[in-house]
Amino acid sequence: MIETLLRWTYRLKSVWAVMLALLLGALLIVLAGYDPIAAYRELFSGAFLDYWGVSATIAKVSPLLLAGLAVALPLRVGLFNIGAEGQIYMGGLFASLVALNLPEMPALPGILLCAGAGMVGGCLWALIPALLKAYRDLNEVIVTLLLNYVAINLVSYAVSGPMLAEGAPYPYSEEIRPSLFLPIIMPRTDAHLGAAIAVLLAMLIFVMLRYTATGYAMRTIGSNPHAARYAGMSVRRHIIGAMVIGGALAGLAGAFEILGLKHRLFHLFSAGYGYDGIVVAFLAAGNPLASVLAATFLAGLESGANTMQRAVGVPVTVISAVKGLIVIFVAASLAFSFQRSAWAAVLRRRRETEAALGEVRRGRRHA
Amino acid sequence: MTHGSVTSLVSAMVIATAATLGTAALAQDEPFRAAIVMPGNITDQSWNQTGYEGITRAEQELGIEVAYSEQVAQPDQLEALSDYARRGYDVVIGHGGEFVDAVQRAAERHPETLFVVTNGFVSGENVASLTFNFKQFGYVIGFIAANMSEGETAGYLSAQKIKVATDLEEGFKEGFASIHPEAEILVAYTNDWDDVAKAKEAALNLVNQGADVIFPLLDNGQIGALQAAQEQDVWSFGVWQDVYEAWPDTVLQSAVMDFRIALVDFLEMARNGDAEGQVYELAIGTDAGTLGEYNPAIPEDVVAETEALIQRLNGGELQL
Repeated sequence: MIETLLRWTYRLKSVWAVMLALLLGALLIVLAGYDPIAAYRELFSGAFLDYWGVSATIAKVSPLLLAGLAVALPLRVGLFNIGAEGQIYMGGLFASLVALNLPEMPALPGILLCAGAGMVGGCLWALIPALLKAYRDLNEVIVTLLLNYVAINLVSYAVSGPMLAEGAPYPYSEEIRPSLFLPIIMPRTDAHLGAAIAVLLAMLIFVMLRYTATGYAMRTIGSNPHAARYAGMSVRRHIIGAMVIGGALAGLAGAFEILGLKHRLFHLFSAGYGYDGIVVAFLAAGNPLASVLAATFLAGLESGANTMQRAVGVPVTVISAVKGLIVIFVAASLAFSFQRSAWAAVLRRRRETEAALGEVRRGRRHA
Repeated sequence: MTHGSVTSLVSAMVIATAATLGTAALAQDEPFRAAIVMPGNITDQSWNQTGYEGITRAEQELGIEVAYSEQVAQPDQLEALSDYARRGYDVVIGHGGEFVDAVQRAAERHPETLFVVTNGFVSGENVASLTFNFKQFGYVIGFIAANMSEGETAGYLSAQKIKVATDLEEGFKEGFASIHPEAEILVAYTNDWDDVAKAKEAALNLVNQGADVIFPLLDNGQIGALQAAQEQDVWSFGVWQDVYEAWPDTVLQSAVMDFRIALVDFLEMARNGDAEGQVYELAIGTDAGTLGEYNPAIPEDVVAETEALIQRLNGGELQL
């Protein structure tokens, strides 16, 4: 009984970490001279209770969840994909290129083509670190991280040079045509279909990881690559596969940002979603279904934080600090894992004490 | 007495009171409210700070109610603008040309609010743009540059080919050509508004190619370009603010385009109910858009000619 309880306490460590961070964040809000209860009430209602707030949250779930999955999947084979941000940019670039040059066609195939192009863009960008890792054992953390800057600058160059819209006051491309816009799921808002597709993909990946041979191979490689190779699994193929699928998901996130939200390719169009994706993946401990919750939480935090700024006037720097605290606490919580042997020793001592006490009690009764 | 008649009686009383108290009381009951949404930090000593200072000045000088959001990322623009409209703000400003799309979409959804985009070029039923006639400023700077250039070669430096940069470039070229029709204008775009080292390198490169007067349009990179001009002993110019005092041996003149004044003026107009959905393009020689201090190195007659040129541009006698 106690052991299961302990196990669950550990399993929910992210939740405790978030709560602690929010508590410390409340202190920051007080120090900044605002009422933390009013601020958190606005944060919560602005994120999940109000129609417009919910729509803003849903609009953010799409990039956050897809980026989260892009990190979580390679994590399963023991790879850190820090490059989701760059893959998002390449996805956005490829999707816009196709969207702007596509001949007139019905909406559905057009959108599919653009989304597909986005996935290809992300894929190619992830293929570089994947190949370097698989064949030359280059550190994927460094390669993916640095490729982010390359991608961001590529997009910057594209929209301030060859793709720049006529007379644009800011580096952005021409608008894509309205038939390629992703459908909106809440009228008069920005909540587009991307979030729903992202959730579907999360379920699909969950099933794939849990119930297929590929998923089993990936899990095995993640926990022990040597054993996996001994068992005849191709480590190389799965490493490349996981990374490339991750890249495709991030690329899709970029495509959805263009097709669903911005309708143009913008200079700096992603607000660091690729890095937030790392937080999502870690909050969810790499689990695709838990990623849905983590992404929704983070999306709500983002949109609620904006409402908090507008309604209570809390400076955005304080809000960024609260977000930073959450990341630090969650990261720190990962250091605590359930160690059966340590706890077993404690529990054994407890049992022994109780047994001894029982003997004492019995002894008294007899006396 | 039924509910309906109570309400109608109360509302009749309210209308009567309002009528007797006049418009001043009405204005007090419902203060004029304006909000601004900014892409970056309000303490950046640059674009965003200008927006922030503009709206706080409007609050103090006009006594209106204001609000602001800073560091609003691209994906949050539309939501931030719409949210202010839903909270009942009369005027909602998107600070920067990147808000053009978001402002237009927010305006469709909230027809009762006036949306404004600074540095924009769009207008509509309830959409206004607030911008400067950049070509005029470029022209006047080009005119001064041509008068001060000995080698008849000038350099123009910016980061990305967005409207403000290309308009200034065009004006600068025309202004320079008005004195030296055959002159060559070297142009460089660095793709980075803030990188000081890169800006300096690009400016040095222009000087090495023969430019003896350079006009840089950058954000933080401006400092690098001016440093290069100072080291190489060539003339340069400031933009947005008057920087003559900080660089007396380098800067000839500055194209001062003060969005703070422009914002206060616009909000005063909006409060008085005179603002319309149109592009407000401020000419050179206005309160908000003018030149700074002349470097004493500029001959008297050139100063006089420049002043006359500004008059002609402002009065519309000279069209670009």
